Amino acid sequence: MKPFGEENELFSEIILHLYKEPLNYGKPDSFSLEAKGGNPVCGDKVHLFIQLDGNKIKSAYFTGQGCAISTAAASVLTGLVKGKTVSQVLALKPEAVFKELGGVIQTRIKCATLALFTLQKSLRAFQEK
Amino acid sequence: MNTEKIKKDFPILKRKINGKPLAFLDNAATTQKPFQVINAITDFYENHNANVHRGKYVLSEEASQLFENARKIIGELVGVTPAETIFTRNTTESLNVLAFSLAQQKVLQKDDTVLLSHMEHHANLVPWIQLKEKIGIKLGFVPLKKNSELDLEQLDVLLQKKPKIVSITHCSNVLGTINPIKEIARKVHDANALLIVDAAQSVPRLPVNFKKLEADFLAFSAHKMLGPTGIGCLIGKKELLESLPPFLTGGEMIETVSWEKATWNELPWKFEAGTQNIAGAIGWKVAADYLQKIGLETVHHFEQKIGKKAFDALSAIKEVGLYGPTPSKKCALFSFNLKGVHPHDVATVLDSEGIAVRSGNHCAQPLLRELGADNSVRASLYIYNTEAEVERLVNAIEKTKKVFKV
Repeated sequence: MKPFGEENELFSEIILHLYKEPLNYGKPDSFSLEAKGGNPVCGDKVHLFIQLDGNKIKSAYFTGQGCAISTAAASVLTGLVKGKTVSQVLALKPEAVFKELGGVIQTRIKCATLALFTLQKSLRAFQEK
Repeated sequence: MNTEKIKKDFPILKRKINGKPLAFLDNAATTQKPFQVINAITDFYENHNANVHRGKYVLSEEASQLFENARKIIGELVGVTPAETIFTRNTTESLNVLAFSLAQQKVLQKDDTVLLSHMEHHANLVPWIQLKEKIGIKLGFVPLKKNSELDLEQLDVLLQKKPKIVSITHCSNVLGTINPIKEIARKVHDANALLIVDAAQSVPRLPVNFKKLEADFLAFSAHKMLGPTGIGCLIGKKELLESLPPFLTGGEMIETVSWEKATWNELPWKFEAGTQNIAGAIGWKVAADYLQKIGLETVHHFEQKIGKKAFDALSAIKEVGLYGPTPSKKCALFSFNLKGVHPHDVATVLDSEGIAVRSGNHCAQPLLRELGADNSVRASLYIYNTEAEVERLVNAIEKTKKVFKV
């Protein structure tokens, strides 16, 4: 899957929809770990909340402020990781997120990977503990 | 002033982006370069390259003359002598050098106050935060009025606390506001403080005369005024520059060196350690000539005229929220938000139409927060922009509304 949308398509319908109605949005009452990330240059912020069941991710939620792509990417990521093991999430490639988003244009890769990289960084730190 | 003719001097403006002619509206970040500047840099490397002030041979002599002549022309642009024109890498470095030299000379000491404003770029904020943390200076801020102008009545109040330094931008990179520096300078000097002016946005588009402004120091960059990146300068009153110690030391800036002691060269070389950006200075000189030929008064009038058109056109879109003062109080720079669409997403749609704008916090996070926004879109115009491009900007915003169903 190329990191591009269809020709002339800047934002997929999935991105536009998830921007207006994000999934898994909000801070849950309980969670095993949280991950905070941001892009200081653009001001995008993402805050992820993960509930673990043993080594598996039981649920994932997010809050934050961001553009359509980073918001939609956090939505699909929190869906993607559900039921996966920590190692499986660490092995997730950005392309998996791009595919779920229906493609991302080249100039906006950073927005689309913010939530994924934030989660992976924090899971790596969690594993090393 | 013939914009279409000027446009032809800029090779990059012939480019197409996403199949559309490039409309470059990010001039507050950096400007494009005319072929005259590009050729001057090439000519230097092809025909005159040598280090300056070192070799007793023809090339070194030529390079030295070109470099020092560049300094003379840049100084003349703002009405100062070569001794008062110190080359740095950019405005940010000029302000850092100044802040740390003032602290080293103990002009600034623990509990002294430096007064800034709420419209400063990080470049004129973070060096002072550093001094606050390192030596314990205090910071004060001149607030903005509702109309996006500096609150000069508050300046009067803050000056009663006897700050040592006041450091303020001439022209805001977020709001476009042009500040009345001369009026501020008089107030600052009446309070026996020194005035530093961040002129990164003003020297490219307004007639700026250091002596008429009555400032004590002035900083600006080449790349925002048609010149190359990597060179800027620090202007200062001669007696003040003489009293300050160098910040960086090494080659060029010394007079004599023994194993245990060094003495400093004269101004301006005292502040220029190591081999300078020689080609950059030469390119900058040609950029300054280019602007002088048009005339900075003419550039200002042009920006006022096209700025009014852009202001009216953007204000007419009801989903657009514009920041900044009325057009007559600002340069042709427009920060705005489109309701319901993130600035990055606006920029992406604009890019698809060949229009380059900035989106983000514009290196002014605290100001954006004051405005109640984390981000904004910014369109900043310059001498090669046309009214047709303003129209394209408006149409592209309309397209964004359609994409996001606003």
